[in-house]
Amino acid sequence: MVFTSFNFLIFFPIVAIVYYLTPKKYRWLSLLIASYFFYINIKPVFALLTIGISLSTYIFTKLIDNTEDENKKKNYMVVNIILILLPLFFFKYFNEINSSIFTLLESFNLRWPLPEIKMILPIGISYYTFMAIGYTIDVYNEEIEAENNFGIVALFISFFPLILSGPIERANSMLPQFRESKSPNYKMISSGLKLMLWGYFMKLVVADRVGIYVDAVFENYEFHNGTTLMIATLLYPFQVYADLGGYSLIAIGVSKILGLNVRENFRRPFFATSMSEFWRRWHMSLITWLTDYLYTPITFAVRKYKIWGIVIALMITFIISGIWHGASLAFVTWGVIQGLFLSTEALTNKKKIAFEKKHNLNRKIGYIFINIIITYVLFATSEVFGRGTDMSVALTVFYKIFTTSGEIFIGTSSTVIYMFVGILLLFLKDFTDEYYPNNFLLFENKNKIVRILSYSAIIIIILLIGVLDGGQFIYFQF
Amino acid sequence: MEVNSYIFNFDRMLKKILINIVLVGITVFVFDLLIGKSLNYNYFKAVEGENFQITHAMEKTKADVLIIGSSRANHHYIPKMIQDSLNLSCYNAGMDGCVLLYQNAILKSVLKRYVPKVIILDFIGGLEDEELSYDMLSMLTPYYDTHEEIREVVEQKSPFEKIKLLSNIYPHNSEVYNILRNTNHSNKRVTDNGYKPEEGVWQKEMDTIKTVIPYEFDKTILAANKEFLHLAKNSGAKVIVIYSPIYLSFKQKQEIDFMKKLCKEQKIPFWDFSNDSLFLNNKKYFKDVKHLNHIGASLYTNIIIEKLKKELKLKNK
Repeated sequence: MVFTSFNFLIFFPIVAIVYYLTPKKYRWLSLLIASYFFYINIKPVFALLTIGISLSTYIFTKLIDNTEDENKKKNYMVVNIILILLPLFFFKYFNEINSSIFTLLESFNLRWPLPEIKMILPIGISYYTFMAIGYTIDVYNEEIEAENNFGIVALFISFFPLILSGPIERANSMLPQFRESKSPNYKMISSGLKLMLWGYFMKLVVADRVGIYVDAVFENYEFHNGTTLMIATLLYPFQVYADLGGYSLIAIGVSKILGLNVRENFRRPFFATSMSEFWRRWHMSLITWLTDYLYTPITFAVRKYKIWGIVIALMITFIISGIWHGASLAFVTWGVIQGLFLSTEALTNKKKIAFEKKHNLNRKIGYIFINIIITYVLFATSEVFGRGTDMSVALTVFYKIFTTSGEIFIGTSSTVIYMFVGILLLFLKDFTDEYYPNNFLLFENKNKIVRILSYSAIIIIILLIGVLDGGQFIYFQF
Repeated sequence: MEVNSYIFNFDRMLKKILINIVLVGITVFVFDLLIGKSLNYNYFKAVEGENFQITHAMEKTKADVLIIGSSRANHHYIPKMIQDSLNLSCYNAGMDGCVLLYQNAILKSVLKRYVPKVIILDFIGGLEDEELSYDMLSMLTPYYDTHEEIREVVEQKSPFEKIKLLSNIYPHNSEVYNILRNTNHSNKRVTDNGYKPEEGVWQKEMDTIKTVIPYEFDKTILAANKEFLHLAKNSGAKVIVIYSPIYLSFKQKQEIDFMKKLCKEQKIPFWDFSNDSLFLNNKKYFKDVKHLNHIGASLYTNIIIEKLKKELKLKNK
């Protein structure tokens, strides 16, 4: 059951009503039941995994909390992190390792084809694994006390709005909220509904529509010229932003309606003027997690190398981030590229600031615009490796971009038109939020009629040009 | 006292939220009605395009020879050639991406109006449990209200299809551009009774043969397939099932064998061109691996005409 399914539109109001009708003391229980119902309906067997991780996290955090011995504390933390990571490594990297070994065997003509076993990745495993690790480290660092109620730990790990694709939350923010449920609040509910509505717009009108075009190009990359591949490369970040950003907004909105505050995940990333700023606006919950639990400890450990210590920390953090996305050489390359971008910025930052000051560039629109474009292009280019394709595919795409050109592939005119309408609306909303935060308000307009018309218009647009099923594909004839 | 104030605030808040939801609901309802009805009106005024073809197949054609199938049907059979050679009118109701569920609905609509002399089903498989087979039923949602005979088929698209179809815009989701374009007379393109020729020649080398790993057939699609053959056969029409030429052997043996068996049971001729040496690996006849170009389609239609002559003569005898 995904957020965009009709089932969810029935499931969620029922959950919200039951949740608020449940006495405050037991509301966490109604959310836990709802979360497992949600997850079991995706794939029942995967619920065993979340139960296992919850149990292990509960036991080890209690052990960490109950001992004074620093060595024991550390051992408990390490053992739990290993236990939590095992399923992630097994499920996420099983197929990759298999196919790498098969390729190796084939190259030596030693491959004997037998029926292959393919593992399906448990949905959300990357997200709840990070949340469980974060909680364990927080307890170890004594930033939070271990939770006494196993049910609340289990809810933290399986909370249905976050389990599919985050935002990656922290125990110190969520556990107290689960323990002490708030009364229904108009502002929270209204704001949650607005976020959900815009999330649906981003996902159905922008992400899924751009996805039709981008997939038609990349999945048949061998038949497309460099110009088309370049266009698809430039469009792809919009797909990811609208997809993950839209899903995150729905998750945040759903949580808000239930009276729970969840952290922001994207903040108009395409208006970033540098890669470091970009990564403060893009997939923020992942980046702050990586910063807190990986980058900062590494920086501390290598602080004697000064600026080069930062470079080392950046490279390691982003390579691990790449591996988290998937176990392939392409993802590692993606991590290396991000690390290189950020390291270059870190190394040249002082000179850049001095140059900008000297020429008073920071307020010049042209300069800001050029930086935005450069940042976007750099990210879009690196995403060729971050699409989950093979390294050879990513390299071929680059090769073709630089060596071939020709007519731009359109596919279906309607798809292209709807795609640009969606992107334009998303861009305008982000643009006004970024540069004119108190002007051109629609959802937040003081005039009720404008507000009602705005919500209705978004619903109508979703009905008109949203991708409501998989029937709208580009019939690609090579 | 505290409890009373909580209940009072809760009631006020709930009232406020409900009023807003109702206001949005009314606004959406009004716009949905206005836009939806206007789209529906224009949809049926189409002079070309897919909506024109579907409407023609479901509501207008009285062709003697009716070709039903997916894109391969649409690009492989040239009605004018069939018409000229057999002196039988012909309509090509093949539709890109639409397989058995859709084809079954089209047949039901046709048979409600008349019985063609010959029904040709261009079979491409598609018996697997593939979401696309169900999603493509969205092509038929504009006909849900007026065509009772296809309602059951359309409702198979999703468990909540009935509820979704309460909206007037939903049946035309993502069709605004096509509806506007297809009603514009100046855009009218000449098509040959549904047939859309494919231009161009397949250029790429294809050194790997795609293998379709054996899979379990989707029960609903299977039932639709059986129902199609049963309805077509019992209508009194001459039914022929064809697996038309393909650039390379796709090893669809499982599906072809299944269809052959089914046709044998129903005493329906099954013509298998999947390994035809004239077409196999012959680039000049193909636009891509699955579709003949116009030259290939002309050659293939001629072969079909000859086979049809024999088949129909046998019947006449």
